[in-house]
Amino acid sequence: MENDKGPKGYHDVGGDPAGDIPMVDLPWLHWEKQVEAIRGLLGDGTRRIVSLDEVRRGFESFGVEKYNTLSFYRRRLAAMTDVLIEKGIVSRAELDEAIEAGTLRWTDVDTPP
Amino acid sequence: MPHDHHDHMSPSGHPYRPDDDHPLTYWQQMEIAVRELLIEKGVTTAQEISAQIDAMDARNPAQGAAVVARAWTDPAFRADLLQDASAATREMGFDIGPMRLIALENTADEHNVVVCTLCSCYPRNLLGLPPDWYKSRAYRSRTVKEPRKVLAEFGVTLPDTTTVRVHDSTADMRYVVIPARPAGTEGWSADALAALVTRDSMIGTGLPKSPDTA
Repeated sequence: MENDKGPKGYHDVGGDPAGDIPMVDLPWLHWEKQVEAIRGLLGDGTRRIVSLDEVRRGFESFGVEKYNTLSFYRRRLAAMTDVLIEKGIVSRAELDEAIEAGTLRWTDVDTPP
Repeated sequence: MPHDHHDHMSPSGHPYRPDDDHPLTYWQQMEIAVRELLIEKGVTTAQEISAQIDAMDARNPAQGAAVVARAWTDPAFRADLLQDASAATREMGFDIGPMRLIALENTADEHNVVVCTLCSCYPRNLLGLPPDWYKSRAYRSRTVKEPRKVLAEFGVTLPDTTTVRVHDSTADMRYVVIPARPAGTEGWSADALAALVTRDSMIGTGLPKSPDTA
């Protein structure tokens, strides 16, 4: 759909056809709270590193497929991480390395003591 | 001897809950990686993150219910709230952050309902987390197009004579609905009234509880 403001963004879903509203309250998972807490701290008055608008700009521009398949907090984390990399606070290489180290740490725990 | 020597039963006779340990997802690992890097670089600390989570957990619909109940019982506050909800709720001691908060009053002729079509903006600092359905694509898409149908699915059926107003939030401008005070609550204290105010009634997808059930 287009108007004089140009094509509609994929996040602009108001009025689109849609099915039933899922009437379920899911628990708020701890890792999701951590994402929210970190985003809040990064955007606070003492830091001003990642604003809410920057996170929104991130997930409103990282592609419709990612937007449609990632859950709410995955979207927020992905967008926040993109902004952190863009601003040079962390690098992609550092992140990849940390994830790799984490994978080793968390897969090794199944061995009985 | 139904409870003896059964692997799946605890000594009390209840089934054991299965362990909830499974591998972390990529995104959970990403969260750990980002958090640990930010702590390592001194951008934040584990204590700050923990304190932030405590503050988030402390926000819940009871805060909004206290605001609504005060609006029902204190005409001067009601006027202030409708004039500038950010200032009025801050004055009550709620840390609502930099956003602009707007209070929408339901009346006998008008019903307000809140959505965020672009994202899932919600007055979290006052009401806590939004319900999951509020963030769903279906609620975001349909509420602006067929609000009466959506409201009916939430069990709110309104007469045709009632005007329905749909308010689309933005990151900087968020809404709280002040539901109409239930009949039969004359003389009630603000605390007793607050117990009637539900989360959904402050979004507009619900009505306050009936005084008969309280």
